[in-house]
Amino acid sequence: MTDASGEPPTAQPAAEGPEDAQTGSLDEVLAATEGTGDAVRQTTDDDESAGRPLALDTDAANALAARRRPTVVVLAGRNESGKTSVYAAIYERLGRGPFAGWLFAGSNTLSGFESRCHLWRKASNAGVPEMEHTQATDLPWLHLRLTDVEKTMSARDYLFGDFDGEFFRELLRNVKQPSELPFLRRADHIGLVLDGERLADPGRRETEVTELEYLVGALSKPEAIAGPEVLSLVVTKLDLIDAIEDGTERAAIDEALDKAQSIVEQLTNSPVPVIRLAARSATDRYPLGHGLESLLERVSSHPATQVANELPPQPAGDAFAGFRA
Amino acid sequence: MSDSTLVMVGLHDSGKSTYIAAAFHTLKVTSDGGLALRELPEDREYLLDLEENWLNLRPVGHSAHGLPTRIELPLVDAQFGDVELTIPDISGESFDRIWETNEWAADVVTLLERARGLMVFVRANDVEPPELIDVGNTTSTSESREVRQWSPEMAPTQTKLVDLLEGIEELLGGTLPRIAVVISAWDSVEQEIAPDDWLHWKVPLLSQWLIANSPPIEWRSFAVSAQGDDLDAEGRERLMKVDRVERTGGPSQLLAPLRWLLGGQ
Repeated sequence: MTDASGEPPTAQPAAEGPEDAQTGSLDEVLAATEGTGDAVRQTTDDDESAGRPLALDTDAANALAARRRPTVVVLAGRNESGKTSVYAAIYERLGRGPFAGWLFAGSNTLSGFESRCHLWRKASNAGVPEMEHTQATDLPWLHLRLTDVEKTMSARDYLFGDFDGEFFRELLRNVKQPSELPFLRRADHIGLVLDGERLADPGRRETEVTELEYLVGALSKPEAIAGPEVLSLVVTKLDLIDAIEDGTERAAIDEALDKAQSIVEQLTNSPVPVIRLAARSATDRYPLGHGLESLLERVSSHPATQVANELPPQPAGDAFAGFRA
Repeated sequence: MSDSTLVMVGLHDSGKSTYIAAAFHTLKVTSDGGLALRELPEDREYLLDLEENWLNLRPVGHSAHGLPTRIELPLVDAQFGDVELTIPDISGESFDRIWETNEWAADVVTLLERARGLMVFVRANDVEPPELIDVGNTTSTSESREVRQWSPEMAPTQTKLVDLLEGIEELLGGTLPRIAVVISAWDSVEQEIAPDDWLHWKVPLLSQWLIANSPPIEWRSFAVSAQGDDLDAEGRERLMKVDRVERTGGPSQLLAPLRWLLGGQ
């Protein structure tokens, strides 16, 4: 095992602790996609193979939301900005032991995490770590259940929205309205993703910040999100920024980041956390999931806040038929 | 007299049938482990086949077909008296298939619903880890390599076992009976390490899940060496010099998971 220590770990305390008894009536609020409910486990008498869903569709996510009170986390950013890698790295780190004070307590989407981590693993025979692009037709919701290592709190359920970046591109271009993406209104945390690779590139840096400005503008519309407090800035691919040695370039990147932070804070009217991540660096200078402790701290210290919010307007027509598995 | 069904859960070649062979023979010849066979079971052809292979230091193999092989053992327990133990041998391929398809055969579900306890087998020398591609010094790219597409069977051992247990928990309405995690082929573990720590080291996702589950699961780990050694030439030579029962570490160690699942402390 690559990351396994040669030394045996310390034994964990015996299992005990209160059951997560929270429930929520959130059936409709996750309705960003049309669902089939096919993540429900099946029994069968025959040899027909149904295959495994690689994430939860809306029906399954709603069923989970009705049983438990999940914290909904959505990373909003363009294609290939590193959103999926962030989710995958959380799981991959937990697969090596407790992480950032949390224990893995379960997942309804193990196969979804596994498939997303596949091209990071030797089993794939890939030469370098890669991540497949999330398609609009992919089921979006990944589920993770965590318990603090000391087991002083109830277990917490998280739903991570792994959406195609194209939706956010359409949102910032005003092609799509926030009301057509009601998961944004439901999200307890929205990480506005700044792609470190683009920030490190002088030719694309300004565009990255400008697009963030447009995205923030779209999210400023009435009923777009639950409130400005759900927002944070998530800088991905930090390793590519840190690889820039030229002082002038580094200053320009810092300036761009300051500007981005200022844009978001104008909306929130309060300090916005900036979370810097190198989820799966191609160099060995950054451990797997670098910075994820900060993200987990953010989403766990401000868990679900949307219980009392009214439902967002539903999109007219079947705008998300493409999500069907 | 009590009836008890225990279900062995484990992937292909995880040591379930070898354990049954060793346990059957041990229960037959000694009561030193606190349990003993009262009489030979009526239906014993499958058991005798397993035992023969085990005694002759041949790979025990496993249930050759997909359906669970019914095994009933009339036992007497030093503490609980007579026990009718039913411990079906479900092939590892069946569990592999459950992970791959998310489908549970009806007969397996029926057995699980009756189960007083689960024996979850992890073979110490056959754990597929989530091994990451090395980064930093590599100059290769994926373009010159044939990248394998993901399929469920490529998942690490710990993921498959967690998924199986989560599936069982869901099938049983959110509860689980006692779980004995049996680390088989323990003789292959070279480190001085406790079974719990081995789990945390080698299958940390499973270890965390067992610890973190809510409601809490009553579980315990057991190190078992039902074969006693490798079955290569050198291993067979070593095994032939050792008493058949003692080569497992003795009845108490071998039968500890059974006794605990039947209500022991």
